[in-house]
Amino acid sequence: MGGDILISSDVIRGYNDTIVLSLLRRKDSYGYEISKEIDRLSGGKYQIKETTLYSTVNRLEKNGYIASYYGSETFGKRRTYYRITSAGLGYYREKCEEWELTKRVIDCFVKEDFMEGKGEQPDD
Amino acid sequence: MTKIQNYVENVFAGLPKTKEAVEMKLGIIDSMEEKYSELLSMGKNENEAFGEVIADFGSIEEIREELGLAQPRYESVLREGSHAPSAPLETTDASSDPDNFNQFQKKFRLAITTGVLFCILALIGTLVTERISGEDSNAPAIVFFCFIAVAVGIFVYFGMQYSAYENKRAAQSVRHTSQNRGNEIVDALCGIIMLVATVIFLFLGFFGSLWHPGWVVFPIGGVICGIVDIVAKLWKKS
Repeated sequence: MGGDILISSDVIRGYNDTIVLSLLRRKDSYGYEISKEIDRLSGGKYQIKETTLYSTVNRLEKNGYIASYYGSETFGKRRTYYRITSAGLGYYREKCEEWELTKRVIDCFVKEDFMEGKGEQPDD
Repeated sequence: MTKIQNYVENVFAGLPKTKEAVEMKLGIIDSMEEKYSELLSMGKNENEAFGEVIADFGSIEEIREELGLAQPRYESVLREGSHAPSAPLETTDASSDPDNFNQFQKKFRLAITTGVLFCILALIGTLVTERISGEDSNAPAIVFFCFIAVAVGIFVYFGMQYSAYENKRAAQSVRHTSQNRGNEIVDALCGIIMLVATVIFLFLGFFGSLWHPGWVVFPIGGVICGIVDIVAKLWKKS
């Protein structure tokens, strides 16, 4: 027992869309910049994998929540930028509300005295 | 091609080259290259930087899920004998409909029958060729191997597709773990059976020079594997 606690991958999988959309709300961005911002804003606690990021972006674009365009050339390479759409903003708002509700429900069952390792240990 | 491009291309090699897939692939390459450059400019050496960049790649399964592809399961024991290895197939997009599966089943039965036919032809062909060209010629062996090669090719190809269908249907049904555990036992048994067959074959060959009738252990092993598999399936149903 013990060791580092990691983010629940199940939970984070449901909110990758939300995370990416929240960044694109502030400004348009591209792949690597998005993953750097996620790392920075999460305080280093969430480093999104490349496959996760790009499958998320693909899904968001497929659903019309973001749109892509080519930025100006740098070193002969044209970057793909993403911007959020109005549908994306609506979806983002929904997911935020969903998270608030989820948080409130789970908090009913997560007691603080368990989090210090005190109290009963569950049987394995 | 850079090392990063090479790596990503290899990982994506098994996937169909749709516009979506290619866009994701190129995006990932660009992102990894940029990260790599940044790490180098921070003073890391090439291997460190490459290692870090690869560690953040993630899993190709996520890409597969996003593209809606079958999710093949790689069994830990090599399945030999009457089983075929499960491997990813690019053409399984249509395999979720029951209609497609029924159509496939008909093709599958026909394929297996043809394969068995080729095995029989191999034996007959060998005997006939031996009659014609005499005892010292290599022709009978060549004829034998040609027919067997075709039969094996058919079995392996259709076996792989069958496994892919099975895996897709298993992924769709909820009762996952008990099926998989059963499969693992059968596969383990199969592996053991074929290894034992190999040992017997080598024994007969090296100590008895019985390579010729000795090879029979392999088809027998395959048949025993098939029996074990059927018995296991009946067991599971009961």
